[in-house]
Amino acid sequence: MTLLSILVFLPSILAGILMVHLLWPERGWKVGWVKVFLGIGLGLGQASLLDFIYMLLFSNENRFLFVQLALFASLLIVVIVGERNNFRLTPPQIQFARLQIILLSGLFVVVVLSAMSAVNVWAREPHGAWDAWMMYNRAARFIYRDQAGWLGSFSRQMDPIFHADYPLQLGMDIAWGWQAVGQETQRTPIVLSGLFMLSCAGLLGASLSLTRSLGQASIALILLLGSSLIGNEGAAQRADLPLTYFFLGTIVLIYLYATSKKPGLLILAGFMAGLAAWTKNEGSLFVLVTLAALLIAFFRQNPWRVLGWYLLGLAFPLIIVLYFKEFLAPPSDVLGNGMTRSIQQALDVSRHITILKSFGADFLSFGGWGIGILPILLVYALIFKLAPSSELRSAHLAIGLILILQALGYYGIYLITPYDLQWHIDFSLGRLVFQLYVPFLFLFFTIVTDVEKALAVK
Amino acid sequence: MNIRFILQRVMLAGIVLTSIYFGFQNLRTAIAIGNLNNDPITEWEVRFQPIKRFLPFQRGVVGYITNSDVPGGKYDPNNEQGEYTLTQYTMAPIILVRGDKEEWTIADLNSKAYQTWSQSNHGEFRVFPLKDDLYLLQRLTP
Repeated sequence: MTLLSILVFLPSILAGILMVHLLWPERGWKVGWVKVFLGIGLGLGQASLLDFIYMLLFSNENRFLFVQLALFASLLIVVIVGERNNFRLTPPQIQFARLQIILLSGLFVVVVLSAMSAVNVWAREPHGAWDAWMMYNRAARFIYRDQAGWLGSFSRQMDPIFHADYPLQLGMDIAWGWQAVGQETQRTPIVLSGLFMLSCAGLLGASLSLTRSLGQASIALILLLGSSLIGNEGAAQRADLPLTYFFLGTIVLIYLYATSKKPGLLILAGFMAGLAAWTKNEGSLFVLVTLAALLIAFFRQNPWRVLGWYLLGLAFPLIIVLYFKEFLAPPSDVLGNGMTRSIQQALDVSRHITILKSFGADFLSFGGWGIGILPILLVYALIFKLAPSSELRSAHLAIGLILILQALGYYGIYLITPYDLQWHIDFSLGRLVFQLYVPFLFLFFTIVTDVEKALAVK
Repeated sequence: MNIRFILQRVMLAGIVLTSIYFGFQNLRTAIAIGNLNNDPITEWEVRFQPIKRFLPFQRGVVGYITNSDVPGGKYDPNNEQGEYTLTQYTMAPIILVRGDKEEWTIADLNSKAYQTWSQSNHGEFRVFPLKDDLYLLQRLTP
């Protein structure tokens, strides 16, 4: 059943990789790996969006897999026709320095341990963590078990604790996966979370290997996988890992745009940001934040053109999200306080102190290593020195602004939350920091001196 | 070889070794979190299978009461919400609402709570007793 669940997602993933290639026809092995890891998430994202439309139009039908097969076949034909004169496969010339071999060996051990941990959690908790089965797997069950009446999933009678207002990225993918497999098996959401785990780590590694060096990519991945964060989140089947993947995809593409000025990369970045909004409510904040950051960071480089390409990619997923929020989803509970009470809470100094204390404590402890990984990175930066390229100033500024504004957005949500503040922080802050941690790792290792350069390795 | 060079090597070695150490710790934690043959959610689903078979419809709204809804009923407040959400997850696409105002209600009551409830609701419901302290109630009066 695991293999079958992988197979049903394969056409979507391959279609995603081809979409990335069509918009970013750059060549080379390193570029190819970035395309693969971007394509996995983009493929799963487009499948979820298209299945939402499919279910609105043909809720009694069960043939969405054929839509994905047709999409893949069409894209394949387009790519083959476009590439018929250019197609050649040159094997990569790989030569590793001793330092790189040591780091890759360490990475291999960490990857194996992380994968074994995730498999163990999946075997012992096949339905995932509390949030996963209560929100995303529950939503998938409502869609799959009652296809004709699936819109009833968003009934106002549903208790707000089930968050029927949450976007449907995971729910739709799991539901159409079950339809394609022919039964409701927990292997499908497990495979889905495994794919996001793989693509998130893979994208971080491949993008740093492309833009910086193999050693830089290895040390970033060791930090990511060795801290157990990604393994735990992936195994939990929650939406935070797919969300952080879409955050990472967006900022990697913005960075790549700054290095090459290819508009296709911005279209893809916009699409990725839209998929973040289709994954979790924090993604909608991310969409607003990226628009503001792009406007500021590219202010001297024709910002309207930059925003235009970005919005082009953003449009399709954002229209779906807006439609869902406007016409189907029940009201969100986080914004349920009303204006007067929200202002009162925002002016309450004790709330600011509580939030700042929690942010500080998380900064000092995040990562589960006893000492926080973020202070470790601070020491790392002091030892290895920062070496940001002046040519990439706008990219670094855009990514830095995105992370800061998103964190401020989370701060604001805590201020106005209708829930008990300390409970809300305890329940969610670690996951919110994780959402920003992976994109931060990318930013950090694009700024800090490469390990090969620091240790003078050829 | 200057101090920075040494510190850089120590830093890299420290990160790699710490990652491997915590990778092992995390694997140990993962192995300890539960039993391979005993998933509580799957057990909960098995418990509610008779209710799903008994209900005369497969979509709609159904009430839900537990010991906490019965005066004097003993219950663990820590488990209350967990069991409610588990039941909703199990019963999907049926929507569960708290209380017994719907035509059909699922009652998860121990025998003492059921006795108390039954005395105060005599004649208002047709009761279908199922196993494991579960009852399906059909409201007779509007």
